[in-house]
Amino acid sequence: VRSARAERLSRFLVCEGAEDKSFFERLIAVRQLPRFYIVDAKGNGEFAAAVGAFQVSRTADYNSLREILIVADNDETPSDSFGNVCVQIDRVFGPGTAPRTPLQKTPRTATRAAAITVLMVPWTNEHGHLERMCVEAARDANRNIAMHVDTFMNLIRAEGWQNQSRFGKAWLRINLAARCSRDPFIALGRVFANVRHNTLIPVGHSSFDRIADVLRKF
Amino acid sequence: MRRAGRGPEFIKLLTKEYQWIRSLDIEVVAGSPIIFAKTPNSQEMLPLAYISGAINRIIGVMLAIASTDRSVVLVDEIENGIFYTHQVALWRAILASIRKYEGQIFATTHSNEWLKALVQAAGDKMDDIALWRLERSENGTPVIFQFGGDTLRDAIKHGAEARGG
Repeated sequence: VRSARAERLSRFLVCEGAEDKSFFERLIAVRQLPRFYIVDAKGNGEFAAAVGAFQVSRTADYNSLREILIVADNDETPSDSFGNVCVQIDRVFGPGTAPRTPLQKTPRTATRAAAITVLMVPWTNEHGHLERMCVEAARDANRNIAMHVDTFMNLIRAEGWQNQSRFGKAWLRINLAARCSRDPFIALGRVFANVRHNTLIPVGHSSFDRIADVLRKF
Repeated sequence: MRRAGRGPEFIKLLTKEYQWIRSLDIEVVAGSPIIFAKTPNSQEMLPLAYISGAINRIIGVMLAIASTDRSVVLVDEIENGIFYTHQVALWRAILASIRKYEGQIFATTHSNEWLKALVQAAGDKMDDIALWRLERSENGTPVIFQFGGDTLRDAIKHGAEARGG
């Protein structure tokens, strides 16, 4: 953040949690995407507070922004999750500011120099979250272990959960526990932040291409 | 204030937050006006400054607000001499006075704790407060950044450094 601050960036990305922050930092570094200030909102109800915090604590940086990207998880109710983000956008930037759909960029105004975009993860109208998005990359990184994880999930009848979010988190947790010999409880954020663990979920995998393409256009 | 009939309502505003003050009076001692207070633990009224330097200062601010309608009161380094546990109560008392008499206060502070206490004291009436932060721009010229109460509350809630830097 310090080096980013020194050159003053025009893009700001606020995401739900520390894991998302680590993921985007790694994705941007590996794929040489445009640089953003990246802030962890500490919860999907805290986007407004995170924007306010950045505005107050780093006012000069905030005033230089041209793009604000809010990244949220769809979880099991994509439209509700998007609506929750829009409510917060309207609260911070004024009624009617929120975009009508994910990835739609709100125009800049005389009083707001930054355009606002919402990116829903894993993708517009798809159930899930960061963990769900990471499943295919983790699978391809070690197909043998992935096959055993699939078998285990079948044995516990996970397909009957009717919950993509729970399924994705469970699958990834079991996969990482099996593959990370140093720490079976390894936090997802450390997978991206610590070079020793980067191969567990390689961000160069094609499953992240859509997200990378969005960032590349900023 | 007493002549204007504001004495009782001022005492009411004050004792709402400082219930140990039963009454206030002004006596002239050696030619100087001094505020005296009646407390539950004393038979006689005592000079307020003897009881607490902080409450003496607080009452000075509140009297300035209450002395006339729509007053504008300036307080430099409002945090000075006041124990941290009294911060929210002080802001509540000041905000109640401001609302009652339609006044305005400009208070300077170096303290993040005081900003947190202000947000807490304002409750859900964030339009009543604002932060103006004076700092130097990168080329050295002074600039003022203004933030509404909602933004200040969000920043405080998120643990941001509201004093800039």
